[in-house]
Amino acid sequence: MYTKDEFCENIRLCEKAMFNLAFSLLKNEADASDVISESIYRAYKNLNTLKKKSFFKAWILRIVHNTAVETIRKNSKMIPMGEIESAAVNDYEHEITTKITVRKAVESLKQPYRTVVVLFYYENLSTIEIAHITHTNIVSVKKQLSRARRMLLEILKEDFNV
Amino acid sequence: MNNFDEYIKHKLSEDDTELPNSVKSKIEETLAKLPEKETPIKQIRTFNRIAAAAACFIFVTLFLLPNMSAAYAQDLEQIPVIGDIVRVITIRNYFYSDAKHEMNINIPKIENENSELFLPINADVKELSEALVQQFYDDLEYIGDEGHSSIYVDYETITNTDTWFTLKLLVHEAAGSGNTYYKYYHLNKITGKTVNLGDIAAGADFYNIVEQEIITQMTDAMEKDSKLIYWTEANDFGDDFVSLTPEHNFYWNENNNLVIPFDKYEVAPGYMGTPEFVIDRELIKDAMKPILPGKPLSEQPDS
Repeated sequence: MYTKDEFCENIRLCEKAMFNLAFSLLKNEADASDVISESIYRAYKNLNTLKKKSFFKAWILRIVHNTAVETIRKNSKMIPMGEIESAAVNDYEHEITTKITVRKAVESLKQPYRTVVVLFYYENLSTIEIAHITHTNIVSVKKQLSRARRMLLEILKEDFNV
Repeated sequence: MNNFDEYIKHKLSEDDTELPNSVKSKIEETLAKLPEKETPIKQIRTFNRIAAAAACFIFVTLFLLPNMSAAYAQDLEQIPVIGDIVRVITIRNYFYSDAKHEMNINIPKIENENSELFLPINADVKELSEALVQQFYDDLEYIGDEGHSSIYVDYETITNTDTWFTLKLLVHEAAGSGNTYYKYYHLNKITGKTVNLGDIAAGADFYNIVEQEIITQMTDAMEKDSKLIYWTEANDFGDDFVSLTPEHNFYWNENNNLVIPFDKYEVAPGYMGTPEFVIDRELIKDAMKPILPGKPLSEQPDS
């Protein structure tokens, strides 16, 4: 379907989306970078499973999602996830005295809200595509987005109402 | 909420950050190490041609014909309820079947002398159903011969009294493991307005009382039977927890108590199915908005 050069070009077009998704799940640049690298290998090896060129972005993001979830599960055996979450929340609380950016507000959301927000607002993906990437369904994605909006509105209400 | 969506997208575009250099170099390093690869183009093309011919045959016989033929469509259509005031009919049936994939989607439409009251519900049902049909065909193309998938959508009239109407949409998807979820639509026949959970909640108290009652029922059930598992607290990865929103599903049961259903996997592992919790109306009556605004509680009709 793709030559190596075409594959590389498509990866470059999606690299920011891949990073945003991996970072939303792992909250750590180094781990996100490893997951992207591993996902590129897996995608290239299984290129024949891509049925249509227009599906490339959703297809590669699904692979990134799967790889990141595996990494989290492996890591959770060593570091309790609670510690990672609370460390992240503390970082966020330090920032609360200064102006809260939308990006920081998104990073402060818990899962699965953080990931659906990143895919919906950063990547402009449809709820069908998000459901496909995150192995869930459209109704759940819509519910998660609705809850995430309420949480974001709560954090950003002062700035939004200005 | 559209303004809020636009606000977020605008802020994010202003705050657009570059990909960190370390990540960019690692990606380039990975791409450089990929071996040259000969993709089996010929084989894929041949397979695609056969698959396309088969799909075309199935499309004509199982999908196009039933939808073009009024007689055939009438056989497929069922009219589950014809009430005095409101009736629900199947306006369209999407059907597809082959060795590995199956779809059977019934799209309902609520009809009434005052049809415009049901326009928002009918529009939402149509949008959701058609999105599911599209998702099925996308998955069909995506999965091809390498896996199984199925989707069933049906509906049921839960309540049709003088004051209240509730339609339940049932969706069952299976691709590897199964997933079941429901969506409830309500119309207050007295005010003529569609209703969601937020419209019956007088304030935050309503959600607190209902959430606490659900957690209590979950905890009691788990104490009585060790095989039962509910997720009563937020966990750290992906799994949902008991937190209601104004859009959360609900319905009134025959005793006029509030029922809060959850989708599969929403508050419990898959084997627990789609749990439902009955909330005694007495518990929430002071935290609810009246069905008839401006009338005292004693004059409020049942839902």
